[in-house]
Amino acid sequence: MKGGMLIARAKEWLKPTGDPDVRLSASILRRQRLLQRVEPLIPLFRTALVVAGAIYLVALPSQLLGRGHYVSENALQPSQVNTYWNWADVHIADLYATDVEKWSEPGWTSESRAEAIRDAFLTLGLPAATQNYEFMLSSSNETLTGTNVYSIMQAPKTDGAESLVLSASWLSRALDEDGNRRINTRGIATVLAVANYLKKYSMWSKDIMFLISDGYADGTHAWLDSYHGFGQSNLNAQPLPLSTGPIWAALNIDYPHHSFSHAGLFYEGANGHLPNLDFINSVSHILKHTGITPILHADTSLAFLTPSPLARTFPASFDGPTTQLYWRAAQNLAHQLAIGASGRVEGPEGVYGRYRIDALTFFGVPADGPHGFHAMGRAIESTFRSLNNLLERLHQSFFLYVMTSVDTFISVGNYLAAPVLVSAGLTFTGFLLWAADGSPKVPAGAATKGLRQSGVEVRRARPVGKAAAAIGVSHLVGGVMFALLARVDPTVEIPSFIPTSIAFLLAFTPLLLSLALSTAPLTLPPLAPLSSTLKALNLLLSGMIIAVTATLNFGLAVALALLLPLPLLLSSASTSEIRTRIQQVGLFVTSPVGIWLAWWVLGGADGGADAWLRETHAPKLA
Amino acid sequence: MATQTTRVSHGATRLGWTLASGALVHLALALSPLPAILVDRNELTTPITSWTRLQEGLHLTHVLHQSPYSGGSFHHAPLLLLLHFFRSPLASHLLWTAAEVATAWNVARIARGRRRNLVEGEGEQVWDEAWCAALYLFHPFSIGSALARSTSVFNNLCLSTAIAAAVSGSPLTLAFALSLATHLSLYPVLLLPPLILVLNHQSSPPSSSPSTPSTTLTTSLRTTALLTTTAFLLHQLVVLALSHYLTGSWDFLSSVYGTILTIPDLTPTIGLGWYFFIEMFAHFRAFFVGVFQLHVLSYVAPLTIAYRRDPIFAVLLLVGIISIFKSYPSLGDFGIWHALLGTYSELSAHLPRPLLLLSLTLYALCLLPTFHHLWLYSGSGNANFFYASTRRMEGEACVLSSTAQAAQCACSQR
Repeated sequence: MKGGMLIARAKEWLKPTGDPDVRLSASILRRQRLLQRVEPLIPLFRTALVVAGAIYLVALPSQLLGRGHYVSENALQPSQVNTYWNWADVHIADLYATDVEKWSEPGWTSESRAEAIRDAFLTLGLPAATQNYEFMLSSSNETLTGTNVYSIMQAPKTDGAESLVLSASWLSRALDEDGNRRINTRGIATVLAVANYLKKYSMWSKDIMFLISDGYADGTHAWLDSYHGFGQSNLNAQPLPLSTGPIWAALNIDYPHHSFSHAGLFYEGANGHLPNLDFINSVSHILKHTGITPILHADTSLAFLTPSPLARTFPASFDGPTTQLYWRAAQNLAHQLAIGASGRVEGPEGVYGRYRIDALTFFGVPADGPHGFHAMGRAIESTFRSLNNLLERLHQSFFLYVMTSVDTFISVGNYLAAPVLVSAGLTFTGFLLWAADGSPKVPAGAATKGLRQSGVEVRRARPVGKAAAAIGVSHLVGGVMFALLARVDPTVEIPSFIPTSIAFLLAFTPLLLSLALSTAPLTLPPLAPLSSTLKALNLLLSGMIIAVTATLNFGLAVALALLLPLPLLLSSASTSEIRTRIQQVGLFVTSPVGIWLAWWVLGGADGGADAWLRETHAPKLA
Repeated sequence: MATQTTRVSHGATRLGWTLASGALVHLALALSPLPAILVDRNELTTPITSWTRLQEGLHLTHVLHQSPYSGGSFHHAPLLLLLHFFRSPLASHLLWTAAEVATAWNVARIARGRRRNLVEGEGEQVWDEAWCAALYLFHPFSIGSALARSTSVFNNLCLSTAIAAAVSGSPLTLAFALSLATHLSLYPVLLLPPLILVLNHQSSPPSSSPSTPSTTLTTSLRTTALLTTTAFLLHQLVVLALSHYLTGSWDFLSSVYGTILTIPDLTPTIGLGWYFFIEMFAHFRAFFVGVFQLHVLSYVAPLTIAYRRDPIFAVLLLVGIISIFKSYPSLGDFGIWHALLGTYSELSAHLPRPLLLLSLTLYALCLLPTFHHLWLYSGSGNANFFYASTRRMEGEACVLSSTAQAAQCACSQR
């Protein structure tokens, strides 16, 4: 009996009979029922998206999402060559170091020492030239000047259509006791000694340029702009008399102290641009084979696994290798994300990215041993032998990645989900809010004044023009402030009342504006409240900006994905006075001004977070 | 009667103000640094509309007295070589702004022509003609194209003149303008069949009563078609002869029309063609070029037949489809399409999810320059990145096209 009914129903389903109109209305009803079931789950879904994004971000440092180090470009063959750099060359480097120490004495100007370095290159039989440059800072007459020296070793066997750069900036990233940058004494000596050494060999298929740039990153910036005939309005740089083909890769040497313990790799460019992963992996491979321990940046504690903070509170059994690996990866990841989000150039290697040159800084972390010129020279020789093999630019491996340790990385496919999930959550919420704005469901039991029954939908217009104007004006104010900031002279100490008063102004203007623009939160037709339309459009805009930024600068996208959901998801229109006030305080704290103030109050400018960002860049010698 | 006259004069005043303020905005932006930034943006200019390439052609022709087509980088229509007198920045901006204003005026004329025989439905809103003009004149795509001095602006001008002429029932102006548009970008020739139908509707509007003898209609259609086509062909002959006179050879045929049809210049645009033919093996190329172009052609007959009662809508859809699938599209082509869609403002009440369409466009607009940068400047992406963003753009246009059709369907069923 039962079976027969089932068969009949299946037949009915497969080959429907009866009135098509009835069937249509049945199917519409079915769909409506389904929608009614799903509808209450939608707010959960959007929250789930944002939460999933946050969880994904926390999961990023785990070994599951990362991949092991490998070299994708076959031509590189890292550390597959015999190196011939030897103690005689170390002796020459030592002599050059004495020279550099002499040149860094007080009597020497930028220009005179540049000429001395140029003469050193000329003595080696290499064509060399100097370049003066001048950056005009802000609208005042303040300038930043310097003199670069560079030299070109022509490839002996080819036409030198491509070139490589070995560079050292005059100043190192390491700081001395007074907090000033140290002189990159041995970095410059290394470049000179390597120039003397490389010219003895005839295997080079690419021109090799040796660059001693003045200042820290400014000299490299000016030299690269002139080399590519591309400048910025506030830079006066002499044109370069010597030139060769396009630069494929650059290795920057930063070696201030007499010895070093680890080789710190610095590779972040401006606005989150990264060199090809093959370059980093080849160099770290070569370093290991040379006997030097490579690390990311200069935090030597990350060279080995260290107990995680869990070890302090939980029993030691929690602190297994998995936890330690996670802890190390998280520290490396956070550091890189912060550098990406800050967008600044952190060293000479950062300015090459603009010209599509893969650049890496090789930082000899100051220590009393064990490595010196011998290890450094061999590593450089081996790196240049690998780069010399290239038939194409480095392109085989990833450009979009984050390193979790020297040996592991997360590729774009695995990390992108974190900000994109948050972005999807925001966008989804924006659309929901927009839809709810247009046809609000009146809460049951509300006084409808005979308008209609509760639960019936009505359409109401949204104040899109006003909301768009509010967004546009706030962006305009931001743009004007940015333009004004760019004109502030960075060398002049600004009176402390200016930032405070600007912060005050920025903090309280929105509050006053919101009082002026506020409408009753639960407006009935015909007009939706401005606040919810503004919120919906902001949610959509934020979602879009996070998603688009994620492809350009992962660090910035993550920072936005952490920052934007808080005010946008937690605030909602409310009739309760206390809730409104709490929300206003919350919005203020999570606004850029609030965050900046918190940073400032907590001493971010000299200590705290900023120090964390920079400390590994400028380690002090114990 | 008197109130009607005042309403019309009110409308005319408002239109005048719109056009004047639009021209002012264009000229004010022309003084900003924007034109220098936009002039070589690949979203706004293509190999056949770029101002930089046009200047090269003008220099070759008028200064060096060589054939501009001998170099292989100039693919503009020969009549554009007459723009010799507008080479200075100021003159060019004035000319381009004038063309924009004229186009906006044409859009307003089309809107006015449509409104004459339109019955407003419940909850539907018909935009004022000044609004429609403003939609074109203040559309970021058309402002961008004008500032970049893309010659797509003239294409839009000829196209809108042709449609306005059809709506107001003047076959000779229609043939003249459409022939010029065809000369500039070839694809507008596809609009001839639906435009003839529009013309025919204006001279003898189809009445719903079955008493009208269909033979009369057919005869009038035949006459209109014959007249317009002949005028079009004659004008094409004149234009071609003039082009030959201007350039001194027939080289322009292969360099202009050949380029549009066979897509040898693979400079990335916001369209799909460049990517297909970068990836294509050479021995398949001829076949797929044929498929690519026939695909556009295949829309003409079905759309014209399907919308024979409302042929302006068929024209509108075809303008959109050509913008999507032409070999070298730019944002300017979408600008005129959006403005023409604005003349069907009564559909907006039936348009589901307008915000979704808007945000899709915004995503595409943000991703296009981002992925272009990642591919060609920072080198961290590749051609697939940029192709993905162009597909987003085209996809949005397809969705808009189909929603417009659905809305038209809903609107005509009420």
